[in-house]
Amino acid sequence: MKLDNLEIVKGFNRLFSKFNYIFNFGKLYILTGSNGIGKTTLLRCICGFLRPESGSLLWNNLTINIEYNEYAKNIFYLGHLDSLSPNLSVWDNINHLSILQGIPNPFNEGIDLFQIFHLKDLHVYQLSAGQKRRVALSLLNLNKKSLWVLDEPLNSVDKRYEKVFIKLINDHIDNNGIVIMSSHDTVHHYKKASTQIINLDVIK
Amino acid sequence: MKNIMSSMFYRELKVQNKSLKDPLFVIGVYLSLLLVFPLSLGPSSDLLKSFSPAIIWTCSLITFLTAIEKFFISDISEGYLEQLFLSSLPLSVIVLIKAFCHWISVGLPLIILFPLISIFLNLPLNLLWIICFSLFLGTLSFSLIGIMGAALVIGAKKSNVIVILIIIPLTIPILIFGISSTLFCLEGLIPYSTLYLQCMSLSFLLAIAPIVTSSAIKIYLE
Repeated sequence: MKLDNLEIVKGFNRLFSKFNYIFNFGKLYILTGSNGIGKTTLLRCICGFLRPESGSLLWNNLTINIEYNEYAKNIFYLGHLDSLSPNLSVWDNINHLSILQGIPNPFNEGIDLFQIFHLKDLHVYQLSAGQKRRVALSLLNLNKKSLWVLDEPLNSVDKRYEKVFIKLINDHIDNNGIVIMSSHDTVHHYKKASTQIINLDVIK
Repeated sequence: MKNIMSSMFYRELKVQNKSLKDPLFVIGVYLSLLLVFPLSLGPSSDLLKSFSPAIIWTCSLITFLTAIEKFFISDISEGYLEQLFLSSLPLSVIVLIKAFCHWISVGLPLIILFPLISIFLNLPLNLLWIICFSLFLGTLSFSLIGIMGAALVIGAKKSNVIVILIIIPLTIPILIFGISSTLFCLEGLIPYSTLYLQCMSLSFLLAIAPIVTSSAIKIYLE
């Protein structure tokens, strides 16, 4: 995946100009940088929610604005918000989101890495922030989409589930997927050889 | 594809009707609005009878305005619109599903309730089913206009005030056609011409609402 001469403007703020980058399969990219530098904006632009002012994004040499539907099949996006509706049960949410995105339902497969099975009949508004995050993260399990775009995925998640998450990320990279995520954490546990840290403060 | 659509439909109905309370609220609002008119116009049945088409239609419009927030408010706070955008279902189909679910949760209770109301308002019962049909066309059009308005103000402050200002002018033709078909029915005629006009405005909205709404959602996501 290639970002070519990207220029992103948000409001009156020119966040990126002439930004070039190439993302390769089988790698993890971690965006870091101070608040407001444009981490989330860049991720949203990669997903196609936001159109760049100029420049283009290429996916296997396809321009994504033109072939958007073809491209969107490959993305799994998890933003700041968990995209769970508070008034539905955990089960209904997971079931709906997995059908919507065409990924396996972690409950049906019987693999409960984030230990949410006992929560399945509760409504989402009854859960704590960390529990909601775990429910959202459980969609990563068995997820075959090749590009994962995660915006600060480990917010409010306990340490022991961090290990589960890191293992999922490492497996995904081994299966030739791409992970692009923003993070504030220092980065010890991911496979060093295939991790690249993109510090937006330095690049700009 | 079919699977996604049915899952969408099921979710929308559940989100818009959190419990039995929600359709009951709709019915309650409608009935209490209707109650105002006999009280303010006095018990004279002639006056009531000549005003009743206008009363029925304005009350259903106001009921729809109170239920506009059902469309997107929860989706924005959850970040769910992004997932819809990435899904393989086109946004315009999603918009139609949302609008139809909204009609089921707001319009359908009104139509089911209508025979009871027609007794309140002292309407002749022989052409009741035609009035119900014209209400069906009108309320479905209200839902489609409502989803356009709601999408245009996503994320705006005081959106519930702005949305009313956007929607009311658009609903005026539908009100006019609806009220005149109801008037014809009260005189014992079958109002073919106005029903055709209602069908026309509904099909126009069916064509235009998905386009307007999905581009408004795209603008919001930027």
